[in-house]
Amino acid sequence: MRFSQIVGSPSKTLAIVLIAFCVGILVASILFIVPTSWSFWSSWSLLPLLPFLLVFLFFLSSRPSRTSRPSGPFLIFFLLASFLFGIFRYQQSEVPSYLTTVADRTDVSVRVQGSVLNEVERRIDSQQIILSKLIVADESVFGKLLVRAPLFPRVSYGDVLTFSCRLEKPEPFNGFSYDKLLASRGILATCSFPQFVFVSSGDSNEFLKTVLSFKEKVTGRLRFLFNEPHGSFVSGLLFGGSASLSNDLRDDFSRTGLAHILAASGVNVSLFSVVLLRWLLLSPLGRRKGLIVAGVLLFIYIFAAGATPAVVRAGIMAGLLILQLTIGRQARMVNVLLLALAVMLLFNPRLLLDDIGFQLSFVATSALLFFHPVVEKWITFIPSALGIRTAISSSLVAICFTLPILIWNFGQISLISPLANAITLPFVPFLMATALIALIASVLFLPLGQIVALVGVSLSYVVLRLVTVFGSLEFASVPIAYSHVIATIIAVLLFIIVFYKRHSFLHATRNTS
Amino acid sequence: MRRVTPHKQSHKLFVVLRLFIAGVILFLLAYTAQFARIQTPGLKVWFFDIGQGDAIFIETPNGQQILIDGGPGDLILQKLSSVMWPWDHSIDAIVITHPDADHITGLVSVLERYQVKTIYETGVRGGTPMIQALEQAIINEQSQNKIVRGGQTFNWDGVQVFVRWPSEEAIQTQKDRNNTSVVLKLVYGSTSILLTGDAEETIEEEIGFSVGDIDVLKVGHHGSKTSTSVQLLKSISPEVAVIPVGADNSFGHPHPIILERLKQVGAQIFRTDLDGDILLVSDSVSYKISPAFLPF
Repeated sequence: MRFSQIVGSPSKTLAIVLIAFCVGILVASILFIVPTSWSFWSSWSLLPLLPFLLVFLFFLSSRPSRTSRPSGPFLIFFLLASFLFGIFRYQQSEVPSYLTTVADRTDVSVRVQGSVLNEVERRIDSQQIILSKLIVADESVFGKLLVRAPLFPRVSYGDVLTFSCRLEKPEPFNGFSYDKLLASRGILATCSFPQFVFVSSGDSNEFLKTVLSFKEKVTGRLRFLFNEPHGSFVSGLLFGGSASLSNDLRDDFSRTGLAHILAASGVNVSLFSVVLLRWLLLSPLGRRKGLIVAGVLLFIYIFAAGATPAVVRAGIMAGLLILQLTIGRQARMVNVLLLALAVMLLFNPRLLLDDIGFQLSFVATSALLFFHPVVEKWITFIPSALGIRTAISSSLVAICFTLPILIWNFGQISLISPLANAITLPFVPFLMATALIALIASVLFLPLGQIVALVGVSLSYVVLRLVTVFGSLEFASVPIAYSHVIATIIAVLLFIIVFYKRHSFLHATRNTS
Repeated sequence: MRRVTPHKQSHKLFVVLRLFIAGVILFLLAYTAQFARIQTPGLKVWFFDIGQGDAIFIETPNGQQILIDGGPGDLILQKLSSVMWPWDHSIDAIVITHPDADHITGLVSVLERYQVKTIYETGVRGGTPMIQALEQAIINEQSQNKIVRGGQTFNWDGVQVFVRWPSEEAIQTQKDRNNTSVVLKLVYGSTSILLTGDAEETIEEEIGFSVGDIDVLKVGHHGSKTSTSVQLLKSISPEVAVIPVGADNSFGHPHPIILERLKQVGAQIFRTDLDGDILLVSDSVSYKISPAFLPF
């Protein structure tokens, strides 16, 4: 592609400007480009960008036509501005060195006060609470705190906790950058089993409180319909975070390389959307109404799931899949995808390298967008009834493209992982659909919901049994040397395949007849 | 619209048939083992492997369900759903031996999820957040509450229950909650079981001789050396000892001395940390006890 071609096409211009922004963030996060001493004038570093931004806005407002399209030098300015803005945005997410953070108060037992920031994760033997507005030893400090507390007293969103605890700095373990993952969410310290916990109520966002209590009702109903561990598993699949699964089961999930479906990563939501869309489009509703129904369902889903950042991201990804069918042209989807990426990174630039859930979700969705239609045509020997073929092909695509990320981050290859994923993932959309149908049916007529739930329990039973059986195999998970090298090789191989096949991928349209 | 040829239609029917068969197979896969577990005739006593804590589930010959303690967390819910039908949301009775976290934490969730008809407890309370949560859950449940004292007897569908402890005096004077534990002797035909909660040696001395011969002993306090005295073992001479204990627990339970004592009286030992879930089945004449596989 020649430069003049990019200059000539507004959509390509937009694409390349968005890419420049993302690359800016990438470069900043890899190189850590700004030394902390810069932080004093960091808030001013936007200033030199101002002229560029003004020109950019001017460019956006003027309708591009053949006569007044921007010239090459202009585009280079935009690119540079966008790139620098990416760097600036990342740097802004750094904690300024002159602030006292909660990480400065670690390794001694102190009195801590903080308010519960969002939904509390109830595990089988503990609660995971994220606190903000921290006051440590009577001094207000910057940053959030992750607290692992006993199951009682029960804590929920909006509460204010006072306790004494020995705070700790998060450390990476087994080569997995746990500390960076937490930092990407603003969590700078952790506390295990605080003492003398006192809970009082504080002020909270009424909207979030309503959303969370609605979610609690929905999961409560799910847990009534599905007995344990299926209730936890299914509500985790639907709304992210199967925190309340037993530790043994969670271990089995990570040993078999299936932990990603529990990680609220959005991979499962995207998989489900693909299968659901296929059903809706083939249903008597027809294409237009089917897409509208899908959009409405997605909107309801985001609120039912508590509208946490992870859920909103998963929702955006699934929304892209719906949009693809509305737009129809793959080439434009590239822009939409880039725009979604840029917006998400604008909100939290740390997602790009530090949040594995984001990476998995983004990669899986992009792969589904562009490669799934092609792969689906390769496996025509599988029956298409009930969307089985769609389920299998979409799972295959997601598995292949997320593999390098999993190997890179967890430094171990689960030998059983490809098999376990291939066998269990296709069940997932059906399980999610059954759970949703059971939920809706139970609102109309409880016994009907319970009967539908039996099918769901059977499906969940099979998935969980497969996971435990695979997980119990001695060779299930093998730590590998040079995991980064191997991950890179796989990624490069995938890239080569994509590059040589790009035309067939870009021109593939979904067969919706 | 695409025209559906008769050939295509029969193909579709075939696919639906196959899916239906797949569904049935799925259902059988999931429930056959469960059916076998639930339909075993006789008295069933499950000693659940729920980590460092106690949770014992009893199903009487006619299907009454009694849960004694709930373990240290929500794992009990998984265990219950492996031995109960998914549509079964009621439990006939819960026994709270004493309000320590490793015995009652799971009960809060059980009370929230299941309709419990009767709660047997000693009435002992304490100031921990855990106990307050349990108290609230009991109030919300609105079940029939019975205060248990030594000397009472109950009949659970043909299973005779003799309460051996606590005495009213112990409730008033004992500082240690372990020593207010409910101690039950269950008798079904010729099978007798002693469930000791966390009662320690001093309590064992008081009740030891009145208990008589016992087939199966639930070892007190997870095999801690403060329980299971030589005198008790001599007077009850158990054939089988079950130790509910968590793998790699920080207390070092069960204590080697206790294991040695049990061996010396000739008791066969089952441990939940090594054997997993343990099932006793009695047909009132003889009993069988062995590790039993629960899927989750």
